[in-house]
Formats: sequence, structure tokens, C-alpha cells
Amino acid sequence: MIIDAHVHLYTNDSCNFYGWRPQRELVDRAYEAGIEKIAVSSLGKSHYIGLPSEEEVRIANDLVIQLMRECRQVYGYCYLNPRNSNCKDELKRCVDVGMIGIKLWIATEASSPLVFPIVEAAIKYRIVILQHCFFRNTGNWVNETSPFDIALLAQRYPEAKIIMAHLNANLPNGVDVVKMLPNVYIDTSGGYMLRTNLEMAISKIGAERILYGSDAPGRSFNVQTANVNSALICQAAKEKILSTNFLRLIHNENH
Amino acid sequence: MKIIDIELFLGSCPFNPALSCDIDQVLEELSARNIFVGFVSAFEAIISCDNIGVNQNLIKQILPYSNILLPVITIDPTRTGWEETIKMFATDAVGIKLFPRYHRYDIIEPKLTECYEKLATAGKLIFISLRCFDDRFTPSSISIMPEIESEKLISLARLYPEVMFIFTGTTITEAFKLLCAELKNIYVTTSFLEGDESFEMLVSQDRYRQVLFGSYFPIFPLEAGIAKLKNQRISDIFRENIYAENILKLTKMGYLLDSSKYKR
Repeated sequence: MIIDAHVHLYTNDSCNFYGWRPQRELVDRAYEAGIEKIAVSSLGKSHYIGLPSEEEVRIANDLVIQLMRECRQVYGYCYLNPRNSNCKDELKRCVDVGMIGIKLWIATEASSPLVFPIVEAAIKYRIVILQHCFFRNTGNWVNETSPFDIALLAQRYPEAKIIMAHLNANLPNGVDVVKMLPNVYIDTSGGYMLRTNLEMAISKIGAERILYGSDAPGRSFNVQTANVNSALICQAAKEKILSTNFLRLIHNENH
Repeated sequence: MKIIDIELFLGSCPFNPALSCDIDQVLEELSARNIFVGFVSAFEAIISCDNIGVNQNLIKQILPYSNILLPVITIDPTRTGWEETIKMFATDAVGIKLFPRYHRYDIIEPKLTECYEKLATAGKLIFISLRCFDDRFTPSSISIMPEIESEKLISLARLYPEVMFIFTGTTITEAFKLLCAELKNIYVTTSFLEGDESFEMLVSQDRYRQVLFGSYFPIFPLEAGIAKLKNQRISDIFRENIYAENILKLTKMGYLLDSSKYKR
């Protein structure tokens, strides 16, 4: 079984060559690649919005809710902009319809106090937080979360379950920053997966804290799955990465 | 389905030592993935200024496996020795590769005119690497020039219509721009292309004829490179062309498919 912990959704009305057509097609494409379930967030109706308004957030989350209703293969993340004042209400609306987590992107760094109430709500609802995180050699964007921000947040809230997105954008040094923090998980997406990345990540934090995530549709389900399947790691580790770890995380089971 | 991988590297990887690869590893991987023939460049050439030594070493290593591995030699046309390099190695090589961003020169510098003219005369494929690694995570010890504008690459292809240019390491956006120029002497490789539907759109119409399979092994897993075309909603004809037919036509090496010499 394969579960993809990091997928995005937007509509076809501005489909360019990065795009994807009907929302349902996302599920079909995943299925064709052997992926049974996908955890989806929308960062905006027609394109990714870094600083979405309350209205833009609601529309984006509605897309996910609609897909969750249509396809039982879909888990939903609630996209939030911590700068908006209605985050708690929007989160409750999304949790009430079954979303399993929160998606935070580049509205602010994860270590910002603006994020704290959101994390406290996530702890209360016992849901995960998928936080975009890059460690660029060229310097991060303004307000873009680095592994140091994740580490600060994870230390402040040890009971929070944080998925640090983009393994490939954080190896090797970024992973070192969070390796002592057991409440931080890392997904396999981000940039290009180098041939030895997964082995290196396992050697640093173990297979139990790594989750398969493709970042489709910008990335390909097939390619990202092949990256895991071709890694020189044991089958048990692959199974953990491809599904078990995610299931344990969202069902609040300890390792 | 026959596959020819035109983007393989050998030697010490300048970006990450863990990605270094010797000839046995390359051969093993090709065999495991049923890759028929591989075009190989030297990792060291990406940052080395020794035009001759690096190529000499590459050719020496792969000579015993010339039924499977074909060399793509590298020159830095801004440094002395490039003419000598072409003279010495062009006969053995399937193509000549330029790394303008890593060797830090402008591809349309006037002083390169002589080089392009020589390459045109040599009748070899010209590989121009637009990137060998994700710029965002390239070690700061490796100094690279900014990305090359697609318009500049198109101008170059227009200037030398008789030269076949293979642009490697293109993003999907760059590949679209290059192929939409509708020039018959522009080709792109699959190594850095990703996104299912965008890939399908890229190769649609007749553009699939100008897309060539390259995995970028050992930087990327070879299996992942092959997976780029595996479940795509494209016809098998497109797939066959990208995996092997296009490069066979381009190199006029169709005999590879029939010769028992090349069957393992």
C-alpha cells in the first residue's frame, strides 16, 4: 500500500503546463501509479497563493472538501495563513468535515508567534501539521521556513506532530537540525531526489520518521514512487515510508 | 522496449561525493534496467579545466565496453586545448559537451564562433548542459553563472542550423520554450523534466521527436528516470521514440538495434 502525504490540488480553469485538469484526475493519476491514498491540500483555487486572504483560503479548502466527499481515497489538509484572524474558525470548519491536518506554506516562518495558536489547535484536535521547509544554499525567501524554525516550533510544542516538508531541500544539514526532535517527521518531496538521499536520511533519523510525499502535480507520482522503490534500503523501511508511518501518525499511534 | 540513456556520468561527483560512480556500477545499473546503450560523460569535466586529461581518462575507462558505453567528451572553449581535444577525441566520441554555466562563459561570446564552426565541421552532436544539479542546493564552493535564457539558446541554434544541439538539464518551462521555437536542430533530454501532465503536453504533437531519454544517473536513480515515461498517457510510439528511436535517428546508429554485438 502506498499513501502520498504531500499532494496539491487546484482547478483546471487556469491550467497551464504546470497544471492538472479535473480534481478527480489527481486521484486517478495517483491510482495509476499504484498509490491508494493521497493527502491533499490546496494552496489556492487556480494557482499557489503564498499570502491568501480569508476568502482565498476558504475557497481553496472547499476544493479539498469537495474532493474528499467525491473520493474516499483522499485525506484533506486545511490550508491556513497564520496572518488571517479567522484561522481557528477555518480550521474547525475543516476538522469538522474530517480533515487530518494543517498545511502551512510561506505566509510566515514556522517559528513565528503567529503560528503558535494554530499549533495549539492542532494539538487539541490531534492532527498533523505539514509545514513547507527549505534550506537553500542561495538563501531562503522572506518568511520561508527553514529547519531552524521547525526545530524551534517542535521544541516549544513537543506534543505537536510536525511534518517537515521536502527532504530533498533539507539534506544534509537541515535534517541534522531536527534529528533529535522525535515529533518532527520529514516527507520525501522537494527538489530532485538524489540517488542516495533516502539512505542518508535514514542513517540520520531512521525510517520511522520519513513519509512518502510526491508534491504532485508539480512532480510526478511515478517518479517519486520510483525514487523510494529504487533506494538501497530494506523492504521494511520502504513499507514504513510508503504507508505505515503516515497511518500511525494520523491515527496517533506512537512508534 | 529498447532504451538508450544519453545522460550518464562516471567518476567523482563534484556536488556530492556519495554520488560518485565507477564503471562497474554504471554497467550493473544499465544491465539491471535493460538499458541498451549509454552515453557517458566524466563528472570531473564539470569543474575541471583540463580539457585533455579528463577526456583521455574517460575514453580509456570505457573503451573495453564500447559495445555498451559511448563517450561524450567535454571541452571548455574559453581555455586553450579545446582544439587539440577535438582533434584527439572527436572520432571516438558520440558527442561533445559544453558546461557554460559551470565553466563560466556566455554561449554566444564572439570568441566561441570558431569553436562552433569547428564543431559543425566535426558533425558531432553538441550537448549543452543547462544545469547538472538543482541550483538551489548546489554547494556554494561551486561557482555557477546565472541560468541561460532560452532565447539565447534558440538564437544559437538558428545561427548554426547544421549543428544538432541537445540541451540537457532543462526544466519543463525551458523545454517548452526551446521546442516551441520549432527548429529541427533543437533537442531536449528528460532528466530534469517532471510533472505528469506538463510532460504529456510537452511531448504532444510532433514535439516528442525532439525529446531524448536521459536519466542523469548516478545523480538521480535510473529507475526514476525510466518511470517518467512509464505510466504517462502517451502512445507507445511516443515512448519508443523518446527512449531510443529519436537518438538512433539523430546519430544514424540504427544498426545498434540489429547488431548482435550490442545484445547482452
